[in-house]
Amino acid sequence: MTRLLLWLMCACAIATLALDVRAQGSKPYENQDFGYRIKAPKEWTQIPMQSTEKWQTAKWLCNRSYFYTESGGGWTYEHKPELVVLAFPTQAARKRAEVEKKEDKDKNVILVIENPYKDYLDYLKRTNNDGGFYVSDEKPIDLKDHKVTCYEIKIEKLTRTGPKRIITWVHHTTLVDYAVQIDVLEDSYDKLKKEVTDTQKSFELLSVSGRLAGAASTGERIEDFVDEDKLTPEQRKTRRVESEKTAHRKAKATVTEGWDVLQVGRFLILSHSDAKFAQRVGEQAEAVFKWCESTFPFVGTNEYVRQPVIRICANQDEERSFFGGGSFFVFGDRMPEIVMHNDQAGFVTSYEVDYLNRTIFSLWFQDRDSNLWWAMPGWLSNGLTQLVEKSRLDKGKLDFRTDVYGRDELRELIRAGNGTKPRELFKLTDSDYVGGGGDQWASRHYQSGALVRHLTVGEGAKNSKSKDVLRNYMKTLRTVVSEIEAAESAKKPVEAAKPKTEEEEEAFFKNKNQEWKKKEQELLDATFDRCFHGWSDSDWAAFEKSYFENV
Amino acid sequence: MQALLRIVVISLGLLVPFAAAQEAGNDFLLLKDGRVIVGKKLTRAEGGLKLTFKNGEVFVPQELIEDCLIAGELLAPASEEEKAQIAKGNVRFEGKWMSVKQRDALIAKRNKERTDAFKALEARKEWRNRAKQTTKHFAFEYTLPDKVFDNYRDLMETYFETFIKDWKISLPRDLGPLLVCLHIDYDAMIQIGGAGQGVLGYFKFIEPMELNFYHDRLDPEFTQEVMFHETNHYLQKLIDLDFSMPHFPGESLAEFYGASKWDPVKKKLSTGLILEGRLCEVQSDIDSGNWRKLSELVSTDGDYDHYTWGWSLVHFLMSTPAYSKKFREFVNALPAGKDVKREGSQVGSEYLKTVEGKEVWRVFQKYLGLEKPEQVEALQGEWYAYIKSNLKLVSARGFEEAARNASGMYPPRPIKAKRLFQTAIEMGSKNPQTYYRYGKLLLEDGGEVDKGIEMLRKAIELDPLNGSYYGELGRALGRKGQKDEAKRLRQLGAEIDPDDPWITILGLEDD
Repeated sequence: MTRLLLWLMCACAIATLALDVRAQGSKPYENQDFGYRIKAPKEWTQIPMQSTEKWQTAKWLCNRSYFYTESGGGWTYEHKPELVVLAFPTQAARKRAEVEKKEDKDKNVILVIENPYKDYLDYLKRTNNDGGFYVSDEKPIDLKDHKVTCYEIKIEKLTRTGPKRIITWVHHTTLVDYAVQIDVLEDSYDKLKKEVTDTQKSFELLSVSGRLAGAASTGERIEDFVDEDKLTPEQRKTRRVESEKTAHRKAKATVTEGWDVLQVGRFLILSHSDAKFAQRVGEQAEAVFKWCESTFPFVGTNEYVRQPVIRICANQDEERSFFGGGSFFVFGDRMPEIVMHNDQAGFVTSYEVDYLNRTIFSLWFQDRDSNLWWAMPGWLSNGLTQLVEKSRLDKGKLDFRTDVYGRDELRELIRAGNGTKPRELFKLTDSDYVGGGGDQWASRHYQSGALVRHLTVGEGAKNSKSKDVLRNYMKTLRTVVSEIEAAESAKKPVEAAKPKTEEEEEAFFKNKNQEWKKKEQELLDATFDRCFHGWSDSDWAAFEKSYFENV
Repeated sequence: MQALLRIVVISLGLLVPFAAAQEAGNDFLLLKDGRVIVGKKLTRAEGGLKLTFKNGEVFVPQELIEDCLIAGELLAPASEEEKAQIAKGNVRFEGKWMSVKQRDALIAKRNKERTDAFKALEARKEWRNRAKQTTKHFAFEYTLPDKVFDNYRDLMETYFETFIKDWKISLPRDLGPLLVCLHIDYDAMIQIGGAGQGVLGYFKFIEPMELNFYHDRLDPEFTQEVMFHETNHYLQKLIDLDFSMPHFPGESLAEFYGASKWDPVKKKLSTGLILEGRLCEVQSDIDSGNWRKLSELVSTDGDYDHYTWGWSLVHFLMSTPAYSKKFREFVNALPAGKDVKREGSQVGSEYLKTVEGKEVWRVFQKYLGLEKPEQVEALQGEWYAYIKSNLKLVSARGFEEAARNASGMYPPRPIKAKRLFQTAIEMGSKNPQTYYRYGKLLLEDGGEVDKGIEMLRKAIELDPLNGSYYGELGRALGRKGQKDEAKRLRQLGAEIDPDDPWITILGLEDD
């Protein structure tokens, strides 16, 4: 049967190429690909472009923060003004919703929809996430060689960091509309008005390189979705190595002045932070990979794990600016690039390092055995993630630090008699694990963290009865998943009979709705029964006593 | 401005071209749903107007038209007396006979005023050109045509008075009018209101307080529900300005009052009607075998089911004499009861108190007299029975919502959905979306093609300026082999709705 896959791509336009001449001190920045020159304000830092960026061509972030305090003594927000130069090819913009129709090897009809931004305002509408905006003023200017539309845009409602004003001049040329966008806090506009206007006036057109004229699409092959399960480990490795190489090459091409590029273990680090922090980040990531390999050697033994890029921004503003308004996405395979910043919270207590750990762990697991990863019940995947995220490399090995807040919350729960017994936690389906809402989820979340901790680095890991529980559980889960997969593929595909009456339809609906949960419960029960086969009530009592005492 | 637009009442059949008055191509059309169409050539036709597009003409019936301005049109003589006067070189205009020159000058002036008024209406779509109007309790800012706006303004004022009286709320002395931003459509609210996709309206509950919602031209009743819901949050806030009502009963109560209706003849606002959309969601859960437990519903913070099951619970309690007073006392006790444990938190410049879910449940039990588990069970049983026996779909719109729900759930229930759509139509639905969705459903899997096409044509008849209807009709005709007509309709749809990239691809998979 012909299926229809619609891939809406907010893509097309221009592949951002790294052929530019960077600003040196007060020298203007020149972009030869797009044919323009602009002088960014002094002491504004140029931000690298995302390797998948299609519309932004250059951007700068002010080094200085400006502040806005809510009326009536409310919260104070910090904001750094930003300058972005965008390019909208007019020819591509006119090709609204152009459709390419093709057919893949399985006879699936694929419609690739090129749906570029129509113009600057369309771009703003589709990318702004800083609160409600409207165009408060709009006027044309005639320059000697081209026309300009000057927009004043106000962001007033539900702003994240206070009301803002955006001043954008759109320079219209035959090939490209260039939008020079500067955003500032509304309260700071008067102070920055001259700087904003001078920057806008500094924009000049140069001759456009030959490449631009043909740049109506990204020029790259759009990766099709591939079911990796159908490939051999060798084929998967080839694909992953290719994707890794591409990611590394593209990421390196985005570095701007002041960024360091270093290789630490298997990780390519692009850093705008201090060298010591960057080195520690690389070593931490490597240590997590190694811990995974030594703890779970049985997981996807022959699988290749991609070696990601880690991009470390100097601070949160820079990271926000890096992502802002851009098109950081990849169809098909996930681009192995992790973006973080130095939050100056101390390496050991940094939430950013927590984030790094979580992401590295998830990447390793999914590349080794994604089916096992997705089959893990809530208590296991959540518990493992909590354990790994708080780990820190100390004297050559990972130290699994305690989540103090979670521990205290859990102690409160147990004191109040609301602790869930491990035996119950092991059998919870995802919907039961999440429960009715915030409180219940938080309770299960902290309990799963404590349970996995108990089994890996706590007292449970020292007890002869429970020390192998986690490994056995995962191996058993994998076996059960494989058995289910084998049983499913052995079944002859039978098209379910379509309901013919409303009564049949209602029964079918009810059955379908219960089916998934039932299957999930069967998987968990089967894994539990095999894994804990032979455990007596007294074994459970001893285990639970040890667990609760450990908490 | 609206008054200005109505100065010259244009009646069908009484118009002739008036060459000197207007530049060609400067036609305006104001629809009753608030849309302003500019730049399309308008031509009079029997029973309405024709709009000329590159890919065909579109007929718009008179009942959809609020007003229009056609370049170069003039009133024609309507009687023998008028003809005689015209023979003398005079013309009658606005009840007076005058020379052609005088009349032409007057018409040119009026036409200019009307053109300016239309242009202003078109320009009002931009938030910077929004209209403002302050009433007793609200300061409105809006981008809708005045006539559409007037209805919402009056409803809100009436609603405010009714609720304040019903709940015996004393208004703070220095309470100024609440800023209300009423946007012309959903996209505008998302862009200007800044709340993000999926939000249908919002009440900003810290100073400066503000309410945002939008006009849904295809479902103005839904707009009213959202408006009443969000306004109710403001009214709950007026019970105690330093208190933030917990998610339950806050959202459930807002939903209960969201189902209100104004009778313009009897000048009466009825509240606590059946909120059929929410009822459909509750019924879907029941069909899946999922009944919501009373204690969990009331004690869980931030639960989505407070909008659905919570609404049904409030409906049951407010409509049952034995519980109505107790429930009101429970609500009033949350901000003011002496034995209620409240938590406080700083939100911006304000310190707001609230009550956490577990405490809400304790207070609920106390005021409803549910100290013992068997009493909880009994009330829960009564509530379930109430849902089964008292909450029924009552209107065509309710059946439409139920049908939409049935076709959109997983797995879909097309047989049920078709029956419900058919019922809505038999009950007299005039909602083009009903015909459109029903048509699409009939066409799925190559099912009832002819009937599906008939439904899509009916949708176009009811809302001829909706591009996706043409796209879908094109897709259906394409499947019947009418490739050229399919292509023309897709292109016409794209002309009508140039911002919808999907129209041009409808049916391409069959080409």
